[in-house]
Parts: sequence; C-alpha cells; structure tokens
Amino acid sequence: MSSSYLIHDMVRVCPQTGEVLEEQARTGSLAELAEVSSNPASPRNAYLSFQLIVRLDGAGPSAIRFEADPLRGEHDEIGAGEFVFFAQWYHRVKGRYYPDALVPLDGGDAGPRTLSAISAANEVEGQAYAAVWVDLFVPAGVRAGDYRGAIRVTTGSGIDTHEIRLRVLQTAVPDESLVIADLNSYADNLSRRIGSLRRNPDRYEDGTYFRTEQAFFRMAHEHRCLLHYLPYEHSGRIPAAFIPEIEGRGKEMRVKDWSTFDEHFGPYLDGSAFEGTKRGAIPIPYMYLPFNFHWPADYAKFGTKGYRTEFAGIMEEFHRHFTERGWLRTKFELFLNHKKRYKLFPYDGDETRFVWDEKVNDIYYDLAKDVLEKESGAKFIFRTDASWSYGLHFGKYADLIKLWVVNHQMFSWFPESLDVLRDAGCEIWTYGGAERISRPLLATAISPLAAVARGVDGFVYWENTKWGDGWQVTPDAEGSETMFYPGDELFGLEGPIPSIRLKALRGAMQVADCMEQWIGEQPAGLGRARMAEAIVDSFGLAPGAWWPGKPNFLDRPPYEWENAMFSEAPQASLHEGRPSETFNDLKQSLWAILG
Amino acid sequence: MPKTYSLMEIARLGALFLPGDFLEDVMPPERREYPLKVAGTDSQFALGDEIDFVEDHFNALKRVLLLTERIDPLRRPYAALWIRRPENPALGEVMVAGGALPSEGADIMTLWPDILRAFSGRPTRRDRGTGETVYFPVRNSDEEIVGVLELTENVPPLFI
Repeated sequence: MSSSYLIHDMVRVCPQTGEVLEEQARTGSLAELAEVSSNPASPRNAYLSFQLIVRLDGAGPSAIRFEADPLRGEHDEIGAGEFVFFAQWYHRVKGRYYPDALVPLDGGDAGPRTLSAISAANEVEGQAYAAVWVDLFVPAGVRAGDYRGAIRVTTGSGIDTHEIRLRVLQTAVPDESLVIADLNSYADNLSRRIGSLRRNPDRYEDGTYFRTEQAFFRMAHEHRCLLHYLPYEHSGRIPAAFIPEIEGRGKEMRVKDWSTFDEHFGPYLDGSAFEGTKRGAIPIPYMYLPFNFHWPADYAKFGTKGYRTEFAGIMEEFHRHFTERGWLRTKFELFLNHKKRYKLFPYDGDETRFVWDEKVNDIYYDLAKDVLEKESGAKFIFRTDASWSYGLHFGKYADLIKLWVVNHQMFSWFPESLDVLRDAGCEIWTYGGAERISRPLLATAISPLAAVARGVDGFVYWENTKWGDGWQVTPDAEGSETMFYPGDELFGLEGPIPSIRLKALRGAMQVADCMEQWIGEQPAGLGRARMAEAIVDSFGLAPGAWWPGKPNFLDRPPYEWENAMFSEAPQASLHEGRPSETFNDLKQSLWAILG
Repeated sequence: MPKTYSLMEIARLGALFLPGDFLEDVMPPERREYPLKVAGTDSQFALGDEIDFVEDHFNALKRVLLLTERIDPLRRPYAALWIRRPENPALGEVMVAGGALPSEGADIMTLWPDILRAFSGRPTRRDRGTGETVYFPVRNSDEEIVGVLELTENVPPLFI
C-alpha cells in the first residue's frame, strides 16, 4: 500500500487527518486526488506545481527522501534539476493546521532544512502526514509533446514511485508579464520586520540590506509579481538609502550624490537584479518615486514659489539622471500616499473622500507637469489610488493621471469608466488584499482572472510583508497582509521564503499571461470576449458577473456614505462556493483553445 | 560652540507663534465631533475616514510646528499639537503633527497626568529614558487653553 500521494496544487491537506482543507473541494480523499492529478499539462516557460503528501510511519519524517528523474519525451528532456522541493510549514488558523510557508529543502540527508529538521521545528500536534510542495519548471526551449518521468519517495515502509505523464503545450508563457500582479509594501518595513536587518545598524552601508531586499524582489519576479515598495512614510520621511543625497535649499537645492541611490535601485531598473531567474533580467515595469508632500520640497513652504522651485527642480534632475542611465523600460510613479487620518497633512492624497481634496491632483500635476509631459527619456507618470471618489474623478482627471489604482469593489460599479480611461491612454489596476490562509486557494487565483475578464492591466495587494512576530504559529491578519515569510531566524536564509498562496498566485498569473498573449493575437475585441466566456463557463457564472451593478447611494457625495452601506452594496463574487478544482477546469479548456 | 536652547525654551518660543484660534477651528464645525458619526462601527478604518480639516488653519499650524522643530539647529525634536476631545475631555488626540507623529500615534486615547498638567496651564517636562518630552499649553485669542504643544527628542516617533 502506498504511503505517499502525488496531488495537484489547488487544495491543501490537514497534517493530522490527511483530509482536504478546502471545504468546497470536489475530491476528499488522497487516493482520489492522486488519481485526478496524474496527467498534468503545462505551457512552456512555466512552472507546474504539485504536492507530495506522505503518511508518517513509526520512523517519522527522518526517513523520508525525495528524488526526481528527468522527464523524457520523444525528442527532448526536462532535466531533474528543474524540480525544486519545499517542505510545507503549518500554521494554526481557526483551530486547524494550514500549510502556507514553504521552506526550501536541502538536497542531502543533513543540513538545517531537511524535512525532519523542519518538521521538528514546526511541532505539529498529532502530525500524521507531512507535505512537500514541488515546483517543476518547463523550459521555453523544450519541444511540445508528451513527457514521462517519476518522483521516488523513500519512507520507512519502502519506496513509492510516482509516475509523471506531462503534456507540454506549444503555448509558452511570455517572460514579461502582461498583467501586473503588484505586491505592495512600505519602506522600510523589511528592516523592521527581519531580525537580522533590525539588529544591524550598518545594514544600508555594508550591503546587507540591499542583498536582502533584492532577494524579495527576485522572489516576487520569479512568481510573476512586482514588489512595490513605497519609499516614504506618511510624514514624508525617507530612509537615506532610498533617495539621492540632496544639498542646498530653494534655488540652490540640487542632488549632490546619486551613488547610494544608484547602487540600491540600479539593478532593478537595468534588470541585473533578476539575472539567473527563469524570467530573466527584465527591469521592473513600475517604481514609486520618493516625491511626496514633504520631499524634496519643504512643506513649511507649501503654497509658495519656493516650494515649486524645490519640487520641480529635483524632479527635473531625477528625469535627467534616469534618462542618462538608460532606465527607459520602467514607469516611475508620482504617488501621494498621505492620509489625513494621521494628522500630518490636511489632504488625502490617497483615496480622496472629501471632494475638495481633489485639488491635490491639480496642485501636484502642475508642479510636476514639465516632467510628466515629456515625450522622450524616462517615463514619469502621475498615479492615484481611488475609491470613494472614483466615480467623480475618472472622467475629470483622465488627462492628468495615467495610472489608476482603484478599490476592486468600487471599480466594479463603474464599467463605463474603462473606455473613458482607455481613451485617455490610462492604465488601470484594481486593489484589494491577499487572501486569508483559511480561504480556499481558488480565491487567490481570482484576481488575475478578473483582470483579464474586465480588461484591466493589473491588481494590487496592499500589504505583503507584514507576517507578524508570531508568523510561525499564526501570521498577522491570518496571512492576508503577507505573501512572504522571513527566512533568517528559523532557516538561516538571508531573504524570504514563499507562501503557498504566492505559488497559487503564480499559477493563476501564468494562465492570465497566456490569455492576454492570445488576446493580443486576435482581432480587436474578439479575444477578450472568448477568454471571458471560458471563465464564465468554467466557473458557472452569469456573463459579465464581474460588473455587479451600482449601489443606490451614488447620488450622494462620498463623504456622506457610511460604512454600513458597503455591506449591502453590489460586489462581484466570482469564486464563492465553487470548488478549487474549478481553476483546473479552466486550464483544461484554455489549453484546448491555446494549444 | 553655538548656544543651544532647552526643549522647554523651544516650546515656549513655538507656542508664541501658534494661532490657537486656528487649532480650535482646525476641523470644520460638522466634523469636530467626528467619533459620534461612526459610533457602533467596528471597521478599523471608519473613524479615520471621518476626519477632515480646514486646510488653511491646518497648514498655518503645521508650518509653525515644522519651523519650531528647527529653532535650535543642534537639536532635532519633533512637534505635535494635542487637543482634548470635545465630546469627552478625558480623552485626547494629536490634531496636527509636525515632522513626525509622536510615539503614541494618531488615535484618540485617554490623556495621562503629564499632558493633563499642561492642559491645566503648567508647562511640563517628561523624562522618557533615552529622551525627553515637553508639553506646553497653547492658548487662543481669549487666552483660553485650547491645546498642548508637544516637543520630543530622542524618542522614536511612530512609524507609519
């Protein structure tokens, strides 16, 4: 009798009972799951993920070994080195154990990251099953066709051989993402939240911080996401390593030294930070600028000509420097995140609710327009994050603001905004948060699919590094404010370790990128309609379910809206009550279309 | 060696230039008792969503706070203005912050003896271990105390 099971990546398994944790899952037993997971298909230049669930015998996890053979096709081979194994780490959530953090396994029998060592540190009460997440990368260069190989699992009871019969598709996932999966966070939370950085006062000078931060950017990049790290606090303060050194004031203000700034950000902007990743050395597509209400211009001068002199002069220097450095593939965002709830400024630059705060858009566009309107060189754009006033603003500010990041619920009330913003050359992302660990993995897959269905350019999770001091047991906010965990304290890794939700997001991003690539090859309008139809069919939705209609309070100004109204307001629900395997159904129908 | 000022002296100078009438009216009348608008809501964001300011008043106060922080170039304090809540004077909050938020944050909270002493008209110094805070009364044109100026040095501000 087999003591291990190879299963797909859309459900998680309880380490105590071996039961599937996703309540709506179609398949409940490990044997059934193994049956439906045995014949995967994958595009090229893509990761295929699956899981090995091992029933623990008397010897416990210490006797378990994993070994992969190459996958061989008629004319080609996928090397065994394309498999990567991670131990699943269990967290205590809602009275159950859920796996989320993934710890890369050491290759050999010894080392700090064997399954045995990780399980011992995890201390799961009454553990009867261990689980390993497996990533298999299907290279862009292999030929389409059928491949066969195996993974052997050695336990105290013997050796299980899991045959893999993989169909490699002609379709290849593009290196550059066509949908932006934006993982937002705020500087310098990494230094506050990672013990090895927090304890090192020289972290910005000795290279430690830059290496650690790059590991986060690389992990996001490898998972088809963009780590988006706002460099300033609500006060406008900025850590020195995030800005060039400035000297002088007023007309004498200028950049004195770019060296630290260039060392910090240059590798992201020329792509070299991503060398060696599967997607390659692609520059990040977007980056926040440090400009804000209180930098570089002194807010004590707000409203004076001197404020303009300082703000506009340094922005001009930024543009010149970025252009000279050849940073031409990244869009640099002027974004004003200040909120009056913190009593540092009297305006909401972010999520304007009181309509009179909209003047901030006009004031700062005017201060920056010489650079924003340049037609050559580095691309600087004005970004807004909109919610309450989106319905009032998309028409009014479409000519000034070119990147609209909109609350996902409120955006869904205004389908008519899409054409208005598109016609003005704007890009649109929706924003929300990462899913809680106890939510089904299908929920994590939804944002990329909704982006394709609606025809928007991306989506944002607003916070992604707030794992919390007790993350090993229960992450803060049940994981909904992080997609990573720190690798330093428990596992001796300088950068992050991924989460299962990050893997699930990558899986959905690969699908979304294939869809967008295909849409781009079709006659205008037809491709998106066909992809939307595939989503509707797989999920059993009504056509256009992602536009749920308008609430009845839009005739009132947003500052009169009350929180209680939102619970009654229309909300697109694309995945509620549906089994996680729905995503696999969608992939099957998609691969049939794309080939 | 340039002359340095005590934190209390800096606060005294700053308070001379703070327009207390503006602090009284830093929120529009319909927002001054903003917590009452969301009584009974458990959303973590609802209270903050109700905050609105009279921009000219806020900006005038903010400017004085930022400049007060610079009176002594050898010191790097941060400044804030506290008020008592009109609907419950046992509670208070920062209403305008200068270069940074005090470590207590921006929420409404129960006032403590040191700051209450300043609200009663007596400038008060508070030893903070590694640092120091002074609280100085702020008056309106009727010479009523309408707030307290905080100056703090060598205590990390709130990171937000």
